[in-house]
Amino acid sequence: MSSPIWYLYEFARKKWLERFLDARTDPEIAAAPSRFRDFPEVEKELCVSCGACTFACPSPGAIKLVRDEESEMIFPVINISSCIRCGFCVEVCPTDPKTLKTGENYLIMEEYQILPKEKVYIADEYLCIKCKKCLDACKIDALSFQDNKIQVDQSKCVSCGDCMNICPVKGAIKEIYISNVDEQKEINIMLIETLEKKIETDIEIIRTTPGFDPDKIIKIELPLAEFMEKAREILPNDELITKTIEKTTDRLKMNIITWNEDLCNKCKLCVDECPTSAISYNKEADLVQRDPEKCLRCSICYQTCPFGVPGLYIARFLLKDDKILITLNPSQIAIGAE
Amino acid sequence: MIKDFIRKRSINICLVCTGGCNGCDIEVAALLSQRYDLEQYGIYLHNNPRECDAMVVTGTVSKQWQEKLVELYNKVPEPKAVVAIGACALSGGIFQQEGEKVGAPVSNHIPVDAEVPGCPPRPAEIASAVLKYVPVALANYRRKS
Repeated sequence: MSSPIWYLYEFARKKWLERFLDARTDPEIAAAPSRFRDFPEVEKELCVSCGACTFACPSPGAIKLVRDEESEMIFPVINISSCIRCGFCVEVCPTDPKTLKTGENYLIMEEYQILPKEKVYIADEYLCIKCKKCLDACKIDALSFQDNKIQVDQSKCVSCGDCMNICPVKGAIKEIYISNVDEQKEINIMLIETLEKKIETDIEIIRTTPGFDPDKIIKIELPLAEFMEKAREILPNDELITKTIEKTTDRLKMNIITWNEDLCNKCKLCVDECPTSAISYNKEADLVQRDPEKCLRCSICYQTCPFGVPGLYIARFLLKDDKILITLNPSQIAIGAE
Repeated sequence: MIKDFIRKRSINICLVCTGGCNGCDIEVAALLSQRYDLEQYGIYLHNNPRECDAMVVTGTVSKQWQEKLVELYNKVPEPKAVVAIGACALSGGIFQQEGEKVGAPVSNHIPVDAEVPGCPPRPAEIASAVLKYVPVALANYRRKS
């Protein structure tokens, strides 16, 4: 191609000669592209006279609201000698279709605004130990340390999960799945209900067995196979279910009230103290009864009763393999009224 | 007579920047590039007012420029034309804030024949304005004097 003969041939062509003698820029080069923001055009029929365009305008005196005497309409008028063609007035115009019009780029396109993210990471202020390891781990500086807490800039975050992997505290950086939030909530509620039921049935059995020491830690296991099957009906994603369970069990703390009727002397102190009237006195049977459905597990009855009828345990949970380990710790709160 | 004949094919312009963000000057510089190739239209850019036919003024006329702009204008040989480019030269643009001391618009200081709005105007707009209005302005100047 670069031989002199080729050059000679190229120069001798008629087209080339024409171009040489009448050199002109291609009109396409000089024309404004369709995304170019020209001076906005105003369609005064659509205007609602909100004045948003005048506030958005960075150039003084470029846009003014003018009242038309004849039609009594108020609409923006653009002074093109001041206008800097930024198009901000068009961006903020709230009418649909817009009163002000400029190039096709007058809205930042929606598909570019939303990042295709499945997970969102947030720092748990309560668990965070402020070691700031995550700040170094983040490759795109989406994390910052402000007001004595770690903050995640969601517009920058790309959900790589490096911050969560390096975090020495389990659960201090949380991974939240944006989609299926309602289903996750449903699973959480179901999980708590299952755990409550399991604890309440098991603790009755343990309590009534001979040789039971109320000051000792109680350990219960909940196999998850049955629960998983139920959860799969709500959300067919095993990974997501396990993560939801893990997140819940890591932070969940539950007060458990037991009721030992044999010790009761019917003093009825607890009946008045109960804030939800879950404890009632049955005259006919001469019994003080507790309704577990109404109970808030506030432990007031536990602190009031002089005979130790109610027992208070604090339950904590740990997800291990395919079962939840439940530890019931006897409460350290002092008992007996005054 | 000879001048007229020559000017039909070529216009010499002098670019004067009177303080601003230089955006308009960069657009004029873009005109000189291969993409727009200003000289194919017969426009030649000088920075010498004594040799030019038309002055192209950009920027808000700052305090230091106010006298010098008139001085420069007087140096341009007759007939002369002035093209003001950009929002700054036309109205002060974003510099026309409260408390600012800008001498804009340019027409306060020297007579302006053509105005190109925009911040900055596109290179094509500048070239077409110079091509279209400078010959007309020069003819008008002759008729007046």
